[in-house]
Amino acid sequence: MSTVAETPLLQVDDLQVTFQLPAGPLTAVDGVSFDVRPGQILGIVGESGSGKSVTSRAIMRMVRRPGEITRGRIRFRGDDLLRISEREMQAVRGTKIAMIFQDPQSALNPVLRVKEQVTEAMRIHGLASKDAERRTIELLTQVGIPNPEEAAEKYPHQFSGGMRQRVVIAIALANNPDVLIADEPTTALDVTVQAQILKLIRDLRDELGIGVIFITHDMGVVAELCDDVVVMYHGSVVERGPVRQVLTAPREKYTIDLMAAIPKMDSPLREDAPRPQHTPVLEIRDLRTDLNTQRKSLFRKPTPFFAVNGVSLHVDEGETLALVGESGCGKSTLSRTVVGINAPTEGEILLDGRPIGEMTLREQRRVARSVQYVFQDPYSSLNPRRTAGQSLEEALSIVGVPKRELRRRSEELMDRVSLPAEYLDRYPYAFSGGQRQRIGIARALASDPRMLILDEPVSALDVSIQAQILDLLTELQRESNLAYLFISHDLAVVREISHRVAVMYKGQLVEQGTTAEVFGTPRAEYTKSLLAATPKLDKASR
Amino acid sequence: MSDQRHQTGNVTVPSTNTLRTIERRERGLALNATAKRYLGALRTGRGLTGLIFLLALVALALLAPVLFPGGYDQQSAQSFAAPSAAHLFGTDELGRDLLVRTLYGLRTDFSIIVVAVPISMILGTALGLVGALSRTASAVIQRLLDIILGFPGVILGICIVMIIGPGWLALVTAIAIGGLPVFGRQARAALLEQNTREYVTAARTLGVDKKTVLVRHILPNAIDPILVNGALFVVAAIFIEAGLSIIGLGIQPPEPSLGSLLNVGMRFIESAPMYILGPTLVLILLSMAFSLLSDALNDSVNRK
Amino acid sequence: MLRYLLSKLPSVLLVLVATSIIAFVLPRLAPGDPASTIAGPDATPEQIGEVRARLGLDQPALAQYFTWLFGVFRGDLGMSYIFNRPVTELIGARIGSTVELALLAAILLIIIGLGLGILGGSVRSRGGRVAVDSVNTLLIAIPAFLVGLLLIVLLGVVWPVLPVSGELSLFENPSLGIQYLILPALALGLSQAPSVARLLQTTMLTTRGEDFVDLAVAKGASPTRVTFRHVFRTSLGASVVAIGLRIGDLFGGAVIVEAIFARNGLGQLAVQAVNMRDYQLLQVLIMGVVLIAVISQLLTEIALSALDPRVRLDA
Repeated sequence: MSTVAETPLLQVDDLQVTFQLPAGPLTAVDGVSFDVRPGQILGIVGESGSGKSVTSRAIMRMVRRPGEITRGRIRFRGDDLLRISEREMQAVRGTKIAMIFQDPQSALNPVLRVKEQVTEAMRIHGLASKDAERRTIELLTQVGIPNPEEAAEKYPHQFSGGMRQRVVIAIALANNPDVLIADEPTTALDVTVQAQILKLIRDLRDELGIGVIFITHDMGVVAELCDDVVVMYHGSVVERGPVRQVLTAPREKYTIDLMAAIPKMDSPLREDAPRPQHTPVLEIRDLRTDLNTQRKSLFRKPTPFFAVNGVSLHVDEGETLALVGESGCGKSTLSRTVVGINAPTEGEILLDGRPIGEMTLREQRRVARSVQYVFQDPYSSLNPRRTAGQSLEEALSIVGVPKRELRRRSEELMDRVSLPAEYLDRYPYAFSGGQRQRIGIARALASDPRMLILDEPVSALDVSIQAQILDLLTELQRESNLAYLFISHDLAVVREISHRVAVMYKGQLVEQGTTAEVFGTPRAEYTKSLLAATPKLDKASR
Repeated sequence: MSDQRHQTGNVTVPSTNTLRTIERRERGLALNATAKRYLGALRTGRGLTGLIFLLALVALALLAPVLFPGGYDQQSAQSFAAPSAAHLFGTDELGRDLLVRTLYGLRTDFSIIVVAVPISMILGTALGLVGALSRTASAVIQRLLDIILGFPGVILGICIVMIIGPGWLALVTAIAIGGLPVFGRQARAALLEQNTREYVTAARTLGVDKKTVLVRHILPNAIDPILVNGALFVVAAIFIEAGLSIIGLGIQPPEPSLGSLLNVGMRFIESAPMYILGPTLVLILLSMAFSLLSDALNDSVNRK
Repeated sequence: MLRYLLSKLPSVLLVLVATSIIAFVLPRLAPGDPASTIAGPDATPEQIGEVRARLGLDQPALAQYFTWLFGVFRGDLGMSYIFNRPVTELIGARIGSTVELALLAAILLIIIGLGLGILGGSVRSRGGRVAVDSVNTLLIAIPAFLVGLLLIVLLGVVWPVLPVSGELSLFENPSLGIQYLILPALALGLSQAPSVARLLQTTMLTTRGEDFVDLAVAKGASPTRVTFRHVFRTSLGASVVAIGLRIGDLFGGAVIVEAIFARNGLGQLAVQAVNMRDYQLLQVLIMGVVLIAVISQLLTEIALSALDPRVRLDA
């Protein structure tokens, strides 16, 4: 393996990238320097806007317009990549330095077969077709794709996200690069799949001795995978060093605050569980929801697909029940069924002990107001053509608040979520993700609900903002004794905020219990695998 | 920098969008977003050019009776005169001044557009948005629109002329009907897209009724592509008029229209090629005006 | 593939049946009575009655419809009232001219449209982009017949290089025939090309922002390869659909272009039929036009599924 004295493969020196915007120039990367040595996995971590992605693209000289590299040197084995011609750079890309991207949905050309795309990487650089094809099968095997010959003939959309990402990695490795740049490659993947990909990268590093630059916003992944880490904030490097040191004993304020805001798997659990009551606010018995209710053709009746396949749970006043699971497990469908967006096929939903099915339409509507929904994507849950105030007023007038009271009540709602009243007259585009989510929460509170269903409410937010929203939610719960059904895929967040946890897999609950029980002594295999796959910060202190 | 979102399981995480976010926050005042979008279109080179062309033509068309009170049928002995200071576009086969006839033809064309296009746009959009209220009705309507779509504009025009006879009414009807599938499809596509937006789901969850959701949430967000298409359709409408008139099925003599002038000009193209100068010029300017405006609008609403 | 086509069958049949009904009803909505037109202005009521019976116009509408429909299936398209010749003969004589025109125009449309689109979708410099845009904007603003007229003036009168009226079948005399065909085909093709070009350009520019294009660049691909193998190839699908839609318009435009260039094609036949209220002829022509539109739409969808595996495999 590498020794400390070995010359670095890649040396980034005082890199500066500036974007020429109509509003003025913006320095997205300012004075960034770091080294990568053979066999080293260097993590670059930062929140959105930190410049980490731009830095990685700069190394490949793939910065998008209107950005340009305005200062610095990027030396690969001594040669400054910023001084060579574009044609020479094309010869470097894919052979000496390779890159893998974030979104497996769109990372591969949808109309070309996998085989073509992998062989292309080699054919571009001069390898004969026959040899390239042979190597393709080798590569696909190396990255762990089953039945590589068959897989090579398929199209990208026929694979799952994890498999597609493996193909992307295969393409990157095709010409035995010295450096691999991985730009958030697992952010879009489920946690179990992420664990597999991380292992793959680690194995490849061990076998091939490549240097890896791993860009991410997830400290847990850094702890699991990286040897050293560089922390970026607003375009500059704030702190750097071996992973264990930076994570356990950060020196800079930003890093310290960041580490404090990150939910950890070993943080203390909530102590304030309410006493169990006679009638839970929400109870679900044997719920089943069929998503395939629409006829696609005139002749065939669709086969039912039960996204929710026999689920029973309950939530008490003042309690947070977390619903965890990976994509496709049905947790979103479950929440949408409770709120009425999807129609249940079987089973009962009881609010305050009364089944919804037995209520009149008017009663249903009244009762529906006591369960409100907070959406996951702050960027599309507010109508861009209406001001924040108009969105809140809509929610208020539905529950019968008279016109003259609307403004006052809207201001009250904004106050509850700690936003200034002036923001009522602004349009969504003026707000950050965190602010929009607060408005979404305010809108949900308009009807004075007893319960909130929150579907991945913080997954789209930066870690520091995430902590603020979670604090807000906890405070609101304490103030008004709200019940929460908190849906998430992020186990660390769930651990911090919930009293009880239900684990969902393929439409059914595999485990249910208090947070301490489920995290400490999991009984189901799936729960155990989920917990094992979750990157833990404490791994750094090995 | 890309404007893409990332997927985390079911969730989207915004990417490094610093630039846009900072830009927006600095302008995050309560400006009427609609006004910004549309007026912003007029500030571009294209939008401005289109607007100038349009205003100039509208002015000329409106002022024609004032500038040339004699009307479009003043015959004289000088037929087929070449363009000169006295007759900017020359004279026609009956000695009438072609500039005057062109301007009056422009009036005719405007009168057709002003009636036919809005009718088509409103009716077509309404038909397309029916899907928000009833799915079966929408399916039936889409089928009917598909059938209309199967008729190329001119053929449709021919059919209508066949039934009501040539002239202004036939043209307006042909254009109005011809535009229904264009706007209907556009509206339906916009509807389907809006249905996937979370704020629509949010409104429905809150309990807002279907009609209000349609008017308050879906329509304002769907209106942009409809307007862009509307401007483009005006161009198509102009061509339908001209096309039908040129084969003699549109506006009948002596009333001039851009197309009917071209019809006559066509017959004399080899002996008096300058005949078509006037109507050609005006036709091109008119369609360019709307085309440019449509483009500028398109850019402006997509730049958000 | 077969399953895909079969699934489309019901809706295609529906459109055809609906169109046949419309084609039948439409001419009959027009004022005027063909029987009296044929019998002449001096005919007596009995004579008109005779004519009507002879032509079968005294039968109930439904019977007439089915008679006609069955006739079509047998290959008998009916008898033109006005020209007093079988419709099949009339159409047969003219169809070659229109098809030649539409075909060449379609080829030109594809070449020019795709060419301009690729140019617009690849040019990096602002000046280049403005140039392509201007060409597009200008072309969009000029309808086919106007292009035709201008071409006539330019290449037929001012600088007489090509003939501007009349025609000669390509089969009889290819080298001369093509000279007659070029201007009208160019006029038609040029008029439709810009919208295809625009669509391709926009699709290509959007596609350039996709991740897989970045991946290709990261592989070390040259800009040409990226443009053609990745950007263009994936943008093609949408353009094919646009081209398919334009084919229908080509026939509509052909009607007018034929008038301008004095070609004796189906378009002219249609105009005469309208003016003379020739039901039989019109019915067939209308059906024919819609049939072409439906077929071209079907072909487009087949082409799309060939280009885009996502469409093919989901169907």
